Amino acid sequence: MTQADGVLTCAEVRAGMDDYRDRRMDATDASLFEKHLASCEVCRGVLENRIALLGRVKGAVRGAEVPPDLAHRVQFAVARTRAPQRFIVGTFGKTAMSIAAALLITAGAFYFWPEGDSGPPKETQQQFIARVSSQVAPVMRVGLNQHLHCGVFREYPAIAPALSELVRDKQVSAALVDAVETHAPRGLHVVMAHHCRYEGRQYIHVVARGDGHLMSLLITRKTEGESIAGDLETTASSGPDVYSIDAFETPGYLVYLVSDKTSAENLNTLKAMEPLVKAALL
Amino acid sequence: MAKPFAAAGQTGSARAQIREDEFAAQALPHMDDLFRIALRMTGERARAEDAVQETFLQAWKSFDKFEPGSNCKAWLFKILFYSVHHQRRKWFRFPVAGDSEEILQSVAAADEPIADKLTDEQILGALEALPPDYRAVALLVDVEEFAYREAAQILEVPIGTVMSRLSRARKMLREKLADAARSCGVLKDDSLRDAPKRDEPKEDPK
Repeated sequence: MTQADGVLTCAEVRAGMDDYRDRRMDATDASLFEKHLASCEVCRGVLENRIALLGRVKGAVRGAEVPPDLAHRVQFAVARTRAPQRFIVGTFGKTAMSIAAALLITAGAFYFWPEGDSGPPKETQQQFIARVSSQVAPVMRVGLNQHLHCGVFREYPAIAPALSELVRDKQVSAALVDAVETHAPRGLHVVMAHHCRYEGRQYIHVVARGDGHLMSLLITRKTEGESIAGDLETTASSGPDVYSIDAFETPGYLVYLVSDKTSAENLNTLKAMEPLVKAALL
Repeated sequence: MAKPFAAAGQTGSARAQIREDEFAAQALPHMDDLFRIALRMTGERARAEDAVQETFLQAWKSFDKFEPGSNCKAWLFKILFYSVHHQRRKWFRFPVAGDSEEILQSVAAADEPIADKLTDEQILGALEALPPDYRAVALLVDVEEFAYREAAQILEVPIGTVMSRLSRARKMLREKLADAARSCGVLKDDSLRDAPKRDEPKEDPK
């Protein structure tokens, strides 16, 4: 951009400002450029403003908040791609382990001995659910039964599908999946989300698991006159495992969170999820 | 250093654990930068999160090919932009920018927006209004401070293309911000009107 007379015009200086800022000018041009700047307050102001503008761009982009759990999700996603046996063995609760083992041995006969029992009497899946759920109020059984039926009595794939696949393929609201993924206790991640049916009721069922724990968010429509009243927190025991069940209701739905976490942790998790779930159900 | 993946369980192999630790130490520190750039490229947080997760998954799968001592950040950004470009084709959201004369003519002469009069929202809005190929270069060079050569490698374009796109991206950004400032009545100084271009760089053929 060197001029024959060795003097740059304002127009030439402004056209070359990016090159100057990025040090793309050769020494001769840079010298002429600086000579002009030294004598031209307006061009100096333009250059300073452009530099400031790029600083503002950088600041605006870098000011975006990064989701606090993104690192955790990334780590989990990476972890899921290796050692898949870890997600089959060792991540269930003790009862579920014995159930899975029994299912394997009896090839679908659905008989098992709950751990801690020395042997017969044998118990069917249905009997197991009935025995455990009989410990809680009928309205709480609606959530507990389906957690046991659809969440506990299940073999999960070694590698869970991506959340986006769950939302796309199973047509479960992304907001509900996100509510569980975001607020599930540390170590638990969504591995399943679908619509399912049990004992005449339709459910939306989102399952999170990990670190040996299992958690279900279950949503079902209220039937006439059905309501959760009084103390929302309750627990039921299958023997070795204790299930925590918490619930809330909206005008149209019953919402349950069932897990083998402590009662307090389960309740706090549901409270954290509640606003997102309610918003998703509007 | 703490082992970021330790909580997820044991690998059963000390060698695998060392590899995980290396990956965590080299790759994870760049996650925030990747997310912020992905956010500006996709325009949506959920898609940016997906893109970042996909980037790390792909990086992890091909970590054997990563040469220790080479630029891990540039390597991750190359995977990110591949992922974003792939998603962009799926989403049909963005018109892929050619170097349309219409775009270039629209930035022929620009007033200078006053940096300290603008809001972050105006700046991000103007940035996101840039054609994605131009936005990508501006983000890599002006925000992430990659050298032209690195940006060219990340985007797999010639270095001349990076230079010309960057020049045009900055000019378009100034024009869009000037429009925004003008609409708010904060662009007053005619003396800061951009000078006619003399030697606008031409984009190199790929």
